[in-house]
Amino acid sequence: MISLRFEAGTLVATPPQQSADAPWSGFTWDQRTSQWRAPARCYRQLLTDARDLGQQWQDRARDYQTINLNLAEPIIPRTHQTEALRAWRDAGKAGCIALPTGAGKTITAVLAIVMTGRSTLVVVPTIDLMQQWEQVLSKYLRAESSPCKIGLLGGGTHDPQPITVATYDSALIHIERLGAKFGLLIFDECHHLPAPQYQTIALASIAPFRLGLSATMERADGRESVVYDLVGPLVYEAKIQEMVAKVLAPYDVFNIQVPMSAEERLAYEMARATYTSFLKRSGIRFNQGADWMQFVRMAARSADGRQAMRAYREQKRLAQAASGKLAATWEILMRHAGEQIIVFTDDNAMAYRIGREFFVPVLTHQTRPKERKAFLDGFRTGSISVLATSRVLNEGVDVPEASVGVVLSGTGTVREHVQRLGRILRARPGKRAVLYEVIAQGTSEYFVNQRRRQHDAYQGSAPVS
Amino acid sequence: MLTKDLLRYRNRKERVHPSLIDPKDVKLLTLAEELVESFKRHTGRRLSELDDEINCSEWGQNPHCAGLRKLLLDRCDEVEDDGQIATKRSNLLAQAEKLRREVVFASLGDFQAEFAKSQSCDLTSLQEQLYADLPEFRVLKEFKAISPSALLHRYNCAQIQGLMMMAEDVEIIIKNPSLEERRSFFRSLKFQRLMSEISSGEDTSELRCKLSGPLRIFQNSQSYGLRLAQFFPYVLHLKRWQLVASIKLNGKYFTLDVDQKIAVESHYKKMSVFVPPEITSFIATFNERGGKYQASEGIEHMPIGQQSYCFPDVTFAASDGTKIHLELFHRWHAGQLDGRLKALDQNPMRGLIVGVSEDVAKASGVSQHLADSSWFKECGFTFKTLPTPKSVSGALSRHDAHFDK
Repeated sequence: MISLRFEAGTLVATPPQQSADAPWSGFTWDQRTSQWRAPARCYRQLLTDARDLGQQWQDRARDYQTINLNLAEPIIPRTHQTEALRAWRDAGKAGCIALPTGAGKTITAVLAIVMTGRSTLVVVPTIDLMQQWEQVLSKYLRAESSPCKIGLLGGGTHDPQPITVATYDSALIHIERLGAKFGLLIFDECHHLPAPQYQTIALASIAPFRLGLSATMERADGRESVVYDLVGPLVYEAKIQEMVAKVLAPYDVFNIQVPMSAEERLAYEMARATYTSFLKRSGIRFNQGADWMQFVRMAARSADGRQAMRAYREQKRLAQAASGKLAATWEILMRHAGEQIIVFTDDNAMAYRIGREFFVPVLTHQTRPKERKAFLDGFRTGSISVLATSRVLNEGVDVPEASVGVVLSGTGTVREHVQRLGRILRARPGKRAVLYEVIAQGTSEYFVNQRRRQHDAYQGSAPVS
Repeated sequence: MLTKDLLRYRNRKERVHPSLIDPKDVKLLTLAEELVESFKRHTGRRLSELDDEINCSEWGQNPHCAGLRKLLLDRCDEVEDDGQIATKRSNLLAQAEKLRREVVFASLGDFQAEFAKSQSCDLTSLQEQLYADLPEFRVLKEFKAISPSALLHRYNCAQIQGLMMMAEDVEIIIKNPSLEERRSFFRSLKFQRLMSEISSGEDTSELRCKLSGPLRIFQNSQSYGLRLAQFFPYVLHLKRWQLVASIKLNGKYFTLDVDQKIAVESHYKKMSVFVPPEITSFIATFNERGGKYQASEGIEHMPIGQQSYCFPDVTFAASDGTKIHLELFHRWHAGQLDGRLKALDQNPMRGLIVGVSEDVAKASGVSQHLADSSWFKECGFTFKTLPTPKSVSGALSRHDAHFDK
């Protein structure tokens, strides 16, 4: 009888005789060890094939448990959560669910864990999210009649348990050892998965049940197909506009253009001219995505090119940090005094500048965990009304009380802006959220802004002021 | 190691050439010395001050300076933050919040002026104190010094390691490897959790190893790049070697081809293999007895399946070309015995006998395992301090009888 075991992220079939045909589909003869080997992700297919063909085999691979999980306190799922779970279950508990921020992805996942009743690994992109998931899972999950201890991998903690939350980076390090220990794999913000390294997490795990969660599955490079291949198809999707008034707060988007100072303008125009003249001389038009890489390559080849790259960075920095943005931000803060406000910037330098000028807490990847928690708790309870951040709050982190967002700088990607918008849309009776986009007048930020506004999340929002 | 932006290389005709520096170049040695001295001087001071000094110096403009600085930073410990700045920040932020809630200010300037007044402090000082624990303000506690020459070698090694991070296929060819070299090589591979596909080239004195990880046969990605990079300094310990790797740079593949001529010194400690003089003495005594087999010091490594290799202490050769290897397990490598017996019970191997010292054999767990092992009954024996020619001859006879059945 063939037996199957898990070895460092792969499945190995023994006895290892080489024959013309692989024992099962997905297996390849590994010359290095003289064994039949397959990626661990093939486990589900093997189970199905063996059952369909009536094959006898010995399963020494599976190391995950069936757990009798139940809820410590009742959850009444909302309609879209019930629909999403049903669609996921009907797809064989392997697929992706796209829900806007604030629509209850984490609670949907809790229900999926209970429904599946297997050891579960939740993979998240940041330490903040890891801690947040741990809190939610500890609150809701009970194994038999005892509280469920939630394991953590990441942020200096290594404590794997039957239900574990790990950062993508830590999961990647440990998956070769732990890949057989989980029957359900949940990827939060699963649009991260197509990164070549992270794909290994999905490849090296035997988990037959998989759930991908994201606010926006679409990627600029179109590689969301990788997620569907590794996790399962998109089984349910709800967009922001559909959820507004049902579970998300209605909102307005205002666009504020601020002038640059004369000195800033002069420096900006000079840097911009250096940059654009290099593009013209090099015949780069930015009509396609590949043109940026062409610019990077050409910029590295000559002194002119390197100067153009420096100039590109300088003009971007000048636009993003225009002094007029400080005055505009102050006005917004005063207009919305008493409300919960998040100020978003593209980089840490600008976030800390806001912090120093306005004397407000700054949350970046450099903020220590203890202080992060204190800032987020303060923001939740209302003792802190303004938070400045670069990118760490772009996705996932639960900030329930924010109602005003101020975007001082960012990338042109739709994902970033939909995520930032999502930060302020958690519903509360009578709430109407506002997102301000503050851009330096007559700079490239205007075009970046126009590109973002093509997304359907912006349709129907307030006109440019 | 170096980050991608600090790597210096040229691409030409589908090959990537790391721009290595000459570790004997006087100018570069001076640069390395200046940097090391600068780090030493700044112990107990802010890292931002160190950066300022480097950036303002003439030698700081050298194109290799940033990479060397990064390698030295990796040798630093920073003063741990005692949390006082965070506590002070928390107070300041709470008071600023209170002031914003209580008073409506017409402008940011008005708010700042009022806040500074309430703190009896000037605005600039307040702003400086607020986030004074950011990395640029952190203090250098301890710096592990390095000689200028070693730093330049470390830099060259890091340049290649940086490329190896982006490697997909790696082949290492070791020429005329000694037993010691093979032993450390395979031990290091195992330590880095890498797998190898070993073949002998046309030249039988060559050992060709394709390195990868378990998933590599299914995935064209750079998942094992970090382990390959960490493994590279072990390669530098070999006397004659060649490394050929496929490196993915900006979506295109380039070949990296380097060998011992780059003359880069490894910063890893060399793991030497101790061959006790008692082995030599045993070989002499055994051969004096005469008989079917002649003993000699073990120089071959034997693959015993599942990426495990045995390095025999003694090899017995018969006149018909038959060879039997003897591997001895003493206290200091008893840990490998369990795995070895499991592998040999699953896959009994002709040509190997094993001797286990009695103090290991009596240890709890081991004695039962030896009793249960069908392979050990046929091809194993125990010994007190050193195996005697008599006990070894007995094991050789049992081995032959077992496999010639």
